[in-house]
Amino acid sequence: MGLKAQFKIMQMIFMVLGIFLFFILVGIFLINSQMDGLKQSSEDLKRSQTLASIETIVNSPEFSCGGTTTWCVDKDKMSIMLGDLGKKYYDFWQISSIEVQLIYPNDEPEIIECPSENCNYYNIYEINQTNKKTYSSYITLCEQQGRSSTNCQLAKFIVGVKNA
Amino acid sequence: MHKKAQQEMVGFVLIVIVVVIALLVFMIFKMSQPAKVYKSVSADNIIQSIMETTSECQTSFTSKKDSIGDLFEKCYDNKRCSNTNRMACEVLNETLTVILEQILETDNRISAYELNAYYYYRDEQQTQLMLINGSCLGSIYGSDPYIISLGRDEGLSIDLKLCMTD
Repeated sequence: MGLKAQFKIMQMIFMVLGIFLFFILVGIFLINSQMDGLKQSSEDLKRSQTLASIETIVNSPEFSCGGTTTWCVDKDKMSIMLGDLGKKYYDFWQISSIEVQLIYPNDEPEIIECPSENCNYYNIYEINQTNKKTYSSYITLCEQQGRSSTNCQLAKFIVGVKNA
Repeated sequence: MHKKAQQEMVGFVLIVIVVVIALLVFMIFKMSQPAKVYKSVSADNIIQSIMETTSECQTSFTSKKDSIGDLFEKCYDNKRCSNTNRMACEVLNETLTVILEQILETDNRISAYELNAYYYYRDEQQTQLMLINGSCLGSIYGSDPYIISLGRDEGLSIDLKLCMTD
């Protein structure tokens, strides 16, 4: 009789353990799905902060097309910034590099640095830094053609920042 | 005594069956739900930049070429490009495909895209354009609808979904 009671107690313990484990697993699953949403929100927040920083540079008078258009870079202003003048802005923006890569129209499969024929890549400036991380956003690279016509190309604006 | 043990076993089996059924129902419910689309500023940035890009189509007899945004409107009005004599919709479809393919190729965060353009006719949603490519390996991020007003309370709505790896 004593053995039977012990057996019953053991059976109950196993049952309670089983139920406990089951609820623990359900809990882990629920927490995991909640954390996934949280992770996505933090990723998006990080992306929007990066984009906001890039937007500040794109919309600065040194690059902006003017008017109300955002994410628009004036091709002529950008050409002036190419090379030594751009480097002078390092102290101001604290950015290691600024590059612009043409997306459309672009028939060249390889990167051809500007200024040259059929070029698709502008290295506005680059400070030699070893530990650098790049962030990018999409812009329209616009050029005034004649009095009322503007030609806009799709490009990627890439900034490099020193990795902390 | 033997009968009691049998009863307990039946009870245990019943509990297991109920739990398995509950799990199956939960799994089927989860699987049948459409994939969650997260709002993304990156997708907004891409769609805004694409809309301002100049196309090869010239619908008016001035030297001005239409932007992709204008081309959506011209496609809705079933217009033709005066410089190439091609339909605006054809040029729009082709240009957008080239752009999105180029983005897919150059941006390693993006593995797939889906672009939808639609309008409402007699309270029914009509698709103007739908472009899909790539295989999704990450999470889906979507833009806010880009609205092109056509006047008379009509409008075109364009949204872009991107599959991005974190």
